[in-house]
Amino acid sequence: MDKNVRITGAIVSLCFIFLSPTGYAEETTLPSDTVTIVDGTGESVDVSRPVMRIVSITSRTSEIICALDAGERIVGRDSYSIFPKSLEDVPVVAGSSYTPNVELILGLEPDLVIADSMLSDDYRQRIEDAGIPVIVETSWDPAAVATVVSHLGIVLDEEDRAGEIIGFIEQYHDIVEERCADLEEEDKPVVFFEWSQPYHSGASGTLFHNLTVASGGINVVGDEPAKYPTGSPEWLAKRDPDIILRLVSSTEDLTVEMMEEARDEILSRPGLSSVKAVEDDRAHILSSPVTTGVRSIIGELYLAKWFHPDFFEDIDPEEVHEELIQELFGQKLEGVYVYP
Amino acid sequence: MVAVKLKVSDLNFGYNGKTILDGISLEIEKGDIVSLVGPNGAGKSTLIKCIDRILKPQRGTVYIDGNEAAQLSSKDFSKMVGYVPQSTTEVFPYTVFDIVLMGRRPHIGWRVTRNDVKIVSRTLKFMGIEEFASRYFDELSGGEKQKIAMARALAQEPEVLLLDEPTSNLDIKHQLEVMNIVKKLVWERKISAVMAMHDLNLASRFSDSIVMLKDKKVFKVGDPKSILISENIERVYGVRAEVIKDSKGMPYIMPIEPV
Amino acid sequence: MSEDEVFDAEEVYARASWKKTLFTLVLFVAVALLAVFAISMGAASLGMGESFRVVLAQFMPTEEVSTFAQVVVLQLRLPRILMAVITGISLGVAGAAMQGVLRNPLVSPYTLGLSSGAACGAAIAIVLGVGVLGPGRYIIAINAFLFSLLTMAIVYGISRMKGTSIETLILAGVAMGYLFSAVISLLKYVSGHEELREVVFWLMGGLYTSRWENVIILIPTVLILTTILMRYSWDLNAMSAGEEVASSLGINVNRVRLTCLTLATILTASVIAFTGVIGFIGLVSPHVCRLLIGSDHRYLIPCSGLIGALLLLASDTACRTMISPTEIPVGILTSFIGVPFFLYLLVRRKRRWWQ
Repeated sequence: MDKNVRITGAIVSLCFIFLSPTGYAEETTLPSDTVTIVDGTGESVDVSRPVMRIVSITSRTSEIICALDAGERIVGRDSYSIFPKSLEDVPVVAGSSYTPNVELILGLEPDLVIADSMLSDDYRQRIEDAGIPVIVETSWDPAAVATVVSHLGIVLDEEDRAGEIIGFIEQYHDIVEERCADLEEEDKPVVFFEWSQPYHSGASGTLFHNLTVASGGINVVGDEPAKYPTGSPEWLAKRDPDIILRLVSSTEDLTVEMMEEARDEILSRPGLSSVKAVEDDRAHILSSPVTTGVRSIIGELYLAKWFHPDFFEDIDPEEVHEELIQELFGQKLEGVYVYP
Repeated sequence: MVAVKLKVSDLNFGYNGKTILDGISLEIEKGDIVSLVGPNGAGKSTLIKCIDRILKPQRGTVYIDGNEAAQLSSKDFSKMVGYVPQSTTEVFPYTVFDIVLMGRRPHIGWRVTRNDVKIVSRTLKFMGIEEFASRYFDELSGGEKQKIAMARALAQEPEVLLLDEPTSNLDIKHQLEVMNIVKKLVWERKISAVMAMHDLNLASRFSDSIVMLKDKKVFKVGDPKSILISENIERVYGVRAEVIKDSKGMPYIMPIEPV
Repeated sequence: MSEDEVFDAEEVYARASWKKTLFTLVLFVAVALLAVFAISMGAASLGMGESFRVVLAQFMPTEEVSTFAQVVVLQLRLPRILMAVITGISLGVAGAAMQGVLRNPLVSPYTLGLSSGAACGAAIAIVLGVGVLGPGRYIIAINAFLFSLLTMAIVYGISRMKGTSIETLILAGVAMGYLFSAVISLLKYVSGHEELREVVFWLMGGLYTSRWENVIILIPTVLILTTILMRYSWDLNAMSAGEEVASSLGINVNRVRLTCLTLATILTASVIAFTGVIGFIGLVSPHVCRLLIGSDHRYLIPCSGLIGALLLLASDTACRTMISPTEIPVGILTSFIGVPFFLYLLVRRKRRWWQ
């Protein structure tokens, strides 16, 4: 009896040692399995793991995949996926999710294609017909970031890491939420968030609105019927916002000078000289990368600090940003993202 | 008794409230050359077009060989009546042969037959323009173009030929050539010709019968010698003219001054 | 005329006809060859050999081809190539017919406002998500198609009040074109950004949405309509001399005009419902044809179609391969290829090529 028990015990122990997960996803000894994700469009997508070859044709998910330590698995990207810099060597197979080159994508023989909602149903169908699962996420929406990270974590079998990332983001998100929770309407600044053309903004349902509201502000165009309304100088002057924000994006790296120029341009607009924001000099420029995806928490923090400086004295968004970049991408923070 | 080939009975035509032709009646005998004369706006061209069913008269009937023309299908009608317009422009490049071949349209079903091609070829020979067959229409002179238009109408193998001011844009050589061809046609093929004529002297020289139009009506009908006299010319054209006799004894009109 | 210069018009005609027929055949072969060549072109690196093996495998199941190659050639390239050919034929034929009916060399299939009408229909479907009828996927196409027909009906109706002359047709068409363009601008303005992009892309025209289902509907449609139009070749020839002469040749001008315009409209509307507004082909193909073989519609109509097919197929193939992975909208390229070629023909005009 004793001998049998010992042998059994040894065999069982050996099994444990050899079959237990080691912590590196690439060397997992788990048997291949299938997970089902309900993606951002409500489609149920079956993905068999492990997923070793990914085509990501939207910049924010490319970021997330890299943050999940799975960046080397990206075999094809869109032209906007340029952060982190390690992506630059990855072949480009699409302009954006709107213009994928299906032949190139199929040629890479990926296990999975990830896109954003700009991908037309027709293109999605073609890729799926070739036997490749397609996940579509609204990764630009700050409110959806946690879900997207979680989905990708499952798919890439990096759930722990996903948890860490979500935790980091939620931590700061909770702080903002908490401190803004008890604000009265009159304490909230009226904000005009401009992007693209002058006087062009985003109403409810857009990221501009979501960011503004999340950081305890009132979106001046929040109730407009058109989703992306364009106002006029008089209209804005009448609304008299307390703060004006502007999103800039550029194909080259943004510099302080460019942002300063943008800010000066706003402050010097005729017709706006009587607006509170201009008089109080409360105009801020921010750039696209910190308003969407996994870095949107930084945008949120900056907005919170600008809206309610007293409540957020202890937080330095730039520091948080450094921490984020280090944590998620193992890099140093580079570049300018806000001004001032 | 010579047969009446074409008869117009009490024809009225107007548009936009304006009357152009009022109660026009006339008869054209087979094998005759008839000239319609009158001042500008008298309705010569309009009458030609009404006869050819290009314009629809408000009232009146056209008879061919005793039958109402309106009863015939457009195709059958075009097999009998050919039309030569005052001037032709072709917007797109066509060869002369192709243009004359269009005259076979009333006879063509779906395919162009050897017979059609033969007829076109013969018509070109007859008109003396065979050498132009492969040339493009817009490369040719006014006189040549007019002959081509005639050839096209002839390719229809009509029994009646309507010509709208066939000589107005031609130099004297081409004028004579065209008129001689008409004469030849009438002689050889017994075609009846009705011409809206601008030039009284050509009308005089080449017509069997003259129809004078004035004030929307037929003023007088008859052979050139009896019709082309100074009183008539003065009344119809408002011009005092001297009428002398040319070498063949036909009236020759020399306008002197407006009345 | 000297003995050896005896002009036999019949012989001249026979030779000319033979040369035109030959030209048509040459064009046909050229389109086929280009299609074959285009199958092997694409962003994915599949050589001619492999592409052919895929096509062969459809008939001989013994051939081994990768799924990838199959999908690329059969699902992506082949329908697209066929679409390009059929669209080119359609636009070329419609252009020739329109120019003949309206007696105007500046006319294109879009002159009567068709493109704006179709675009408006498409924009309404895209922005408002509202279509007249049809399953979701086809809403845009069906809307575009119906609006094209609607435009033609309105334009024709307006011109009838003034005796259906060519001038009123064209002017009414231009006016309706502007009206619909204004509606489109309005829709663009109130739309969200995704829809706006889709509308703009639709307006630029493109073949990237070619699917077998669409191709299968279009091939018989285009071929049948073209054949019917060809039956009016003689009438169109005769109409070029003007309404009066055409009338005198026994042609019911108004009826022929209405019929041919309707046929051309349906032809155009059918293809642009799927491809968006691809410009230039309907205008230039008939002209290229005329410069080479004259205006006899018996040859002009089919040849214009074939030239349209060549032009569009060449442009589209270049579009999807020139700067991978980006695809240039095909309308841009048709102009860039078509214009220089057209100018070259214009300058080096040799019309008597059969002497």
